[in-house]
Amino acid sequence: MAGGKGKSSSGGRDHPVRAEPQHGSSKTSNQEKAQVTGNESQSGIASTIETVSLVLIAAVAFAIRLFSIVKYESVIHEFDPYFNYRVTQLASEKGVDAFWNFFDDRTWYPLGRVVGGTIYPGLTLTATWIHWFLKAALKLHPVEVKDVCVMIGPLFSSFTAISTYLMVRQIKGRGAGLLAASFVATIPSYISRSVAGSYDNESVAIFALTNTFYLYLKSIDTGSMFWGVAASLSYFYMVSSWGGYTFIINLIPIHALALLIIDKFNWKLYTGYSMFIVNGTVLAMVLPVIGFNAVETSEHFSGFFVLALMNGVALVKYLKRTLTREAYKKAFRLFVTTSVAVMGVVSLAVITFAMTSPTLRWSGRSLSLLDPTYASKYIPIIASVSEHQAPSWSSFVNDLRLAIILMASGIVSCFRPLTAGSLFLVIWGVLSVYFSAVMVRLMLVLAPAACCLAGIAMSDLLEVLCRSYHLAQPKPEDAGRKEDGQARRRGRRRNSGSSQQRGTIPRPLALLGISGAIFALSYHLFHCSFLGGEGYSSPSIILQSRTRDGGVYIFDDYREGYSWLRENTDYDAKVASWWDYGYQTTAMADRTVLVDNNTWNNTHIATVGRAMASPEESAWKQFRALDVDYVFVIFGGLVGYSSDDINKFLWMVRIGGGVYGDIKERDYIGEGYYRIDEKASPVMLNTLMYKLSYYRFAETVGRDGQDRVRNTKFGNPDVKLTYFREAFTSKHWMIRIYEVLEEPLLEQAH
Amino acid sequence: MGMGRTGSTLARVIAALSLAAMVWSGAEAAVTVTNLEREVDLTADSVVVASAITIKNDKGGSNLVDFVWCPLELVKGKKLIWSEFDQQDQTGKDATRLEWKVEGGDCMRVSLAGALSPGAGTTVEAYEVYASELVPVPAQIRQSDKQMVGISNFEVVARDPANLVIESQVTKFYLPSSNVDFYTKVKPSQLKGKEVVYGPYGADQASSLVDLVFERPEPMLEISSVVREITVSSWRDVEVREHYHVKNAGPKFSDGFSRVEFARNPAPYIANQLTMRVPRQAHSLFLVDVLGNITTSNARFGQDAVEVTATPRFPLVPGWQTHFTFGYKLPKRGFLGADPERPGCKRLQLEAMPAIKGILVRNLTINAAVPEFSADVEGGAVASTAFFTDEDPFRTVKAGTATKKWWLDISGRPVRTLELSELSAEIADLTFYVSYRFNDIMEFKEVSMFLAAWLAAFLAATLWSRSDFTLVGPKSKKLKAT
Repeated sequence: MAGGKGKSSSGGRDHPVRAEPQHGSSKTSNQEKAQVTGNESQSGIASTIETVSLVLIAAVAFAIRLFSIVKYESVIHEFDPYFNYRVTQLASEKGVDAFWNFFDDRTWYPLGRVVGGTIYPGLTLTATWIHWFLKAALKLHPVEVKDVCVMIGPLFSSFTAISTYLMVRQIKGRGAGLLAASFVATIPSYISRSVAGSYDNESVAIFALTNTFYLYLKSIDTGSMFWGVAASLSYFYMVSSWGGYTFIINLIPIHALALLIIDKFNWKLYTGYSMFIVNGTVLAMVLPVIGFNAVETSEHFSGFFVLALMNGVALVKYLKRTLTREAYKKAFRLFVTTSVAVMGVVSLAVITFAMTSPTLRWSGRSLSLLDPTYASKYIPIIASVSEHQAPSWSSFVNDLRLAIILMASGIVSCFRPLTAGSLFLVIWGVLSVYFSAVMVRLMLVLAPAACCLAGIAMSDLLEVLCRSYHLAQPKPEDAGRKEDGQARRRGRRRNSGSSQQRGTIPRPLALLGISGAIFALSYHLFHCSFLGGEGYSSPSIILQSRTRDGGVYIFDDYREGYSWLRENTDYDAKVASWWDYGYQTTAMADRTVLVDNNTWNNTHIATVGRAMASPEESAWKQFRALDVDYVFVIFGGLVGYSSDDINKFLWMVRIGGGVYGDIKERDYIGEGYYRIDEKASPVMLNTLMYKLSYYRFAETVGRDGQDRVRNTKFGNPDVKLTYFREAFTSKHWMIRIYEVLEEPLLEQAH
Repeated sequence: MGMGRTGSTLARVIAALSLAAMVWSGAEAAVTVTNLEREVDLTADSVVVASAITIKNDKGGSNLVDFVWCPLELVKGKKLIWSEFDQQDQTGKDATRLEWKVEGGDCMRVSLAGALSPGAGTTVEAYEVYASELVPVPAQIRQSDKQMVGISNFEVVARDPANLVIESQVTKFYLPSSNVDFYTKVKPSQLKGKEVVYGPYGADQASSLVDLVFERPEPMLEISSVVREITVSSWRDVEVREHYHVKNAGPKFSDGFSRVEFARNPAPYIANQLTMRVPRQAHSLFLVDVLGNITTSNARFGQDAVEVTATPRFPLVPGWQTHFTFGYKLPKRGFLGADPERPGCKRLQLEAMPAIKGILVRNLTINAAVPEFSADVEGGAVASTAFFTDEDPFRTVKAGTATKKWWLDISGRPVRTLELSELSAEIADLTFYVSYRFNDIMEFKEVSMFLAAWLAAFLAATLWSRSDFTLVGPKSKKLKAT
């Protein structure tokens, strides 16, 4: 371990020294960095402290994510993780071949879904193999797939901390690396997606993201083909894990283009970049879910464009070096003419190719990033997802805290001096700020960038403070220790003496600053643990509330309902619900559903939305036509659970209305908005959704009772059902399951 | 013998036939029962028949030392789970447990406590448990209705002419409620509160099958199957995991389940609580199902047992079922010891019945796993009678072996499996044992595995730090060094 570290650190140390003659911008900061990066060679104790800190940071990253297990239990969270869990179960029980061939006939009834070809397999295969390893190699036979899945998030967060450390050490040195790692280990934005149980693609993808960036920066830094291939392998893992890989495949070309523009092209960049793009693209095409998309869709074009440009630049550089000035001028002219012509033809071809698709070969989600209003205009299904909404200002402060404050000064630090690596961080930071402002989900891409920049800023700050502290009281052994250092470095240090004096502040102020920084960091950690424990630990299928005597009261209605479906309905029963609960129903209740969170077929979702928004009889006909046996709705009116189906009803109307003309949004709007009280529209009070939600509700809360989510009375207390029969209602009424009758009840039919 | 007095022709024919059979087989003469008083308890999870048999030795000359009792002749078409015989002594205070052995397939030869001299009489009390055959009548009700159940084709005139001559008999049914919808009338018969009495009938009473339909307020729960996985390890406590499949066999609701009505007026036959009792040493209890913890359980650690009350995920309405797993650990002390019968072997003995008490168990599987590399694994049920052992005439007891991989197992540990069916809570003292030979040196398997893993990691780290994977030729390396 120690040996490995020593080996890779040499690259980090060499980098600023070698890079200096090339750009030679600001000597002072380079020397500062040399000092920082050189720390390790100064003493074994420093290196030990560094290793121990890193291990502790990784441990903290793991432990801070276990609140959900301590407070709740080891359970899979939310919606998508349930699907991943179900597929992982299949892969570990029936083998990886069964996983690739998996055609799921228990979802999207009657269409089914080709899972093996449409899934990002990275996460599930990772968990499957870890589970296999635990059983086969470590002989831990009773370990369940579920527990492996639950622990994936914390485990890969530790890895993320380590790869962040490596990346920032590569760019700015060891201190900054450790600080960045500690930020990324505890940043709430990342905790929210990687707590124990949050078994989602993002939890491994962020590790793959930082690791790919680290290896790419390493490869363009060393010019080594090995690191280039390693980066493309890491990119392959990212591609196989998360659709967000398009961020990498655009960010890296942008960075390379920026380097070309500021005339920092060199052969190392050429080697690293071309290895990465070519290998990475070929590898990505291996995956069934990507396939030819890797060369055919607009998200990927920038990489090829920059590769072509880079080859042009390389050719020009080569010609300039080898030809005489006269010949070079001619060749350059020829080259520019031909390349402009060729590029013209090629871009014409590409544009024609792109025009063949109405979205110019962009996927809907990417388009909604480029044009934030796109989804709400054309694809309500994308707009309806809560994690695709724009974040509120408070969530920036809440989820990033110190990192977002330090991020700006981190960007400034990156310009002193501007290296390939620091430029990369700047581009990453700026772009991800934009993306996260469009979609709250992409806060996750911003978080590691903010952490790296914050780490650099904090490291620079601490360095100035600590140097000021030392300079004000020079210790005799300080000089002696420097004698041990390399002569080269000492020589340069002498030159920079004046600049050191310039960047210092009085000692008491330095002390104050140091203690302030320590306080800020501790407070940050405190805040992060608090958020990790209170804000982001809820599995969302189990709800907790505090009782008056300080105890914990648990609302376990979701599992109550799913368990009932699993136990007491026919195995082949078809269950209709809004698509949010599709994955949970297939995984927890093991029943066939019409639509699920994959949302690949907008029309099918619209069909369900339309049925929910139709009057009872018409809805019954629609559901009967789809062989539906049970319909369930989520209803929060009794206990005040606000993310229930009545609150999601507007999306059912919008999505249903987007496909079927007979659903018109204005019919459902009472006075001003979707309301269910006395001022609700008659159409609304007659919908199946309203009826299923409020059936016999008045008998519990009274005719004048209130719906505790909407805090209003409800418009029609006398709900009669003729075509549906209440089959099960959970303890707190949160899940209400109805049987679709074969024929209407005679006594109530008219 | 009083056979000639039978009224009907049919009975005469039967008597003649059986007499002929007796003569032909050379069997001994039937024992006279002057009075048979049966009390049929229909309140429990199974049909419990307690009979007071007054026997008289009228053989003239020889002492009566035993008699043959054929439960399946007396109570036709029912499945016997358990039986015990006690004989009252003269004072009527103390009772002696009587020995019996299987006779002729499915009868029992019960030995009396002492020989009965000619002309003398005594009373033997038979305690029998039959599998419940209560069925909901009607099969579907509304949620507001009462739960009515029925038992059909119960023979109230016990006859076993080959072995017993029953001169007078009474059969009483104890019902769970006084709300009796129907009972077949066989004179004399009468309904008194929660009791239906048939008899007394003389020896000439014709055979009469009766049906009863009555209200049962309690849920008709049954454990369709329970798999008890018991794992003995070298270093850990004995782990017990019980995988339940519990069903409410009552009448289904024709109008669906309404939460409003359940909250307003919860029917007593909807089961909303299950009680488990495990030995007081039990710890690390858990109750889970496939979706995770069932968070509504409460454990009370008492003086003689740990009692867990658990609310299932959803109320068990008639017709509904649920699956879950209950687990706990037991210290080895008191349960695992040296086998007294097989020197050098260890023997684990535990109660055979699962932790949920008071509910009929349709199928019980016990998988007892013993530490890896154990040999000579044996096991089976232990009961005071032949029931549930290999000699049980009323059921086949399936025993087998398997292997199971548990913590740090290399090849898997031997498992002794035992499959039993139809167990009632009315059975007392049914245990099972597993006995195995284990070399104590193998206790260090886990320790040595840890050491080996640590050593391997250490070696790997050493190798890694000592080796150089840099892809450069020796020349350039030298260059770098300078």
